[in-house]
Amino acid sequence: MGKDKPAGVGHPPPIAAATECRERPNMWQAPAKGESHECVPSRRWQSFRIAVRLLPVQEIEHFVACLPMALSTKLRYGKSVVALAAVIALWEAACSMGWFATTILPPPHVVAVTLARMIISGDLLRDAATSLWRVFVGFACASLLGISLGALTGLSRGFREYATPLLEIPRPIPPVAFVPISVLWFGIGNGPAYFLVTFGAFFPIYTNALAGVLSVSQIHRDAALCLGAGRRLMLTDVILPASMPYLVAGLKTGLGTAWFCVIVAELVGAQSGLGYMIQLNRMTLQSEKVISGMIAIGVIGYAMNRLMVFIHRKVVSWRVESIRA
Amino acid sequence: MTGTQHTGSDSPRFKIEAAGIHMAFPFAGDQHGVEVLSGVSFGVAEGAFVSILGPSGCGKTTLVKVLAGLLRPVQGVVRVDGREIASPSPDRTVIFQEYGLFEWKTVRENVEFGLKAKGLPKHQRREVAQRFIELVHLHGSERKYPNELSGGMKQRAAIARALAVEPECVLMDEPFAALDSQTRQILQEDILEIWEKTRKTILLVTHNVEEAVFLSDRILMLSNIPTKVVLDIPVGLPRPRPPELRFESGFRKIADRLWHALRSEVGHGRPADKRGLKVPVSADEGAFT
Repeated sequence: MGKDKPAGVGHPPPIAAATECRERPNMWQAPAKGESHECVPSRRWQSFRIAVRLLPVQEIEHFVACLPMALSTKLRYGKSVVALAAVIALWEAACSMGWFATTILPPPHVVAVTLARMIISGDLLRDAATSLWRVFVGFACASLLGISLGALTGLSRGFREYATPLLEIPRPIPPVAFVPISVLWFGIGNGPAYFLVTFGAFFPIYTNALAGVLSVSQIHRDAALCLGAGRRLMLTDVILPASMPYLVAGLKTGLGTAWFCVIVAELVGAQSGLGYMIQLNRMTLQSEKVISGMIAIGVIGYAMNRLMVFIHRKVVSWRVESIRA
Repeated sequence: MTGTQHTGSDSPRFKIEAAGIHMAFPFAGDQHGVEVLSGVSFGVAEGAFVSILGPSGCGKTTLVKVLAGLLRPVQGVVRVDGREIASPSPDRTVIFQEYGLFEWKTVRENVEFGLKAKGLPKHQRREVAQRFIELVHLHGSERKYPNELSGGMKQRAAIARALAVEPECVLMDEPFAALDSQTRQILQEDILEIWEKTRKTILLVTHNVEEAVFLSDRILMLSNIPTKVVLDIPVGLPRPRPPELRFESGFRKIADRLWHALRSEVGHGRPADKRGLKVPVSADEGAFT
């Protein structure tokens, strides 16, 4: 409420002035002398004032007060949405400016339509299901092998001495380098995919299982022995749960590698699955399908990782970090 | 083990007995290793509360592990009821300084562990565990994980776990050393109460003179490494012992005597201490030359 303002600006408020005094060319312009008295409160303004009085002021105040908090939690997702939207906008702009040939880089809306069509027709889901099945089989084999071998090497020093060089030499070989030989051995189809997924997922699972078993502290072993634990109870109630944080971390990494490996295997050694699908569409220059397939690969991989993070939290809930989180 | 069988030959005067325990740890650069225990012998009568007091780094934990059967002595035997022991057994449970609770198990599951090892059915385990949880005043925390407990509560849980299997003898390895002084005093009083209720044979290893005097019937003092029993004194203070006992002259007299002996032992121990420390260093040096 500026005291030094010209009379009539404070009352009636500028909104009314703006709506009623239409003859004035610029509504933000201060009224000329004597003009303000002509802008008497109209009936419309009065009904507006009544409506304002009827408004649930307290609720609105509460809502406004809570808004920053609500926004900040939304903003956390909001920020990632903004980043994503910016990249897509840039992509769209680059395509519409003609910087890239659309056969090489189709604009995002074309990809979106293609992706939707592929989902609706069921082609994408069928390919994804094929790839996921291969991951499932290979990952199951890798888990079985990795955990049992990891436990065995961890528990038996003799076995460790035998097995370590045997397992440490093939470990640095990237799974991709096994593609040619796996096609030679298993032909085209599920075989190379199963093999590669098993090979790729095995090492993270095995090394983590081993680290987990070795991480079991002496005091826990001693305590268990003094309480009369036999071998079986020691394994099920001490060594297994104590190494669980490592084990689940290994499975998480292993699943990521498995997904990576199945796509690699399908690029060369299969005639179905997402990897094969993107390879096939590359040959027919349908880059929008290739990109749709890649998006699907990314999304599924992300979802699998989230699932493992969730399982990790559930399984090792006794750890301090996860209790607080 | 040296192979000499003493089964039955000695009358089981003692609940637990250590006879000429020698223990050495091999270190690189030292052919014979470092001798930690050098002929430790003693016996503990059934139902007694005996403390083993020793200067820091004298191999107290090693001795507990040997008594528990977790370590095999180079020489000498440990006998329980006159029978030589060969492995750990729930007859002799250990309470560790760092608690040793299974972090992935709740308090109740921790206490039930030994009962599970014994093969008790589930409902019976639950019942027995509950009794011991109440004995150590932990009711209400049965479903908590060790990470959610304070140090004192963790040690209570560990005590309940060690007692639940109904051992003949409880070995305590500096059980209160990691606790703050208030918690320590309260827990000491609780241990006395529990001991008076259960009358287990308790062997407490500690470096704390007042703790040893307050709790025990008898105190064995160890020398520095290579460790031997250098002092064996009874504590004739009446029981039950109230907390105020710590300020009475009888208590102070025994404590002062032990302090005196311990101080001279710590003083003597310096060269030996250095030797113990030097060995791993020399092993490192060896790697460079």
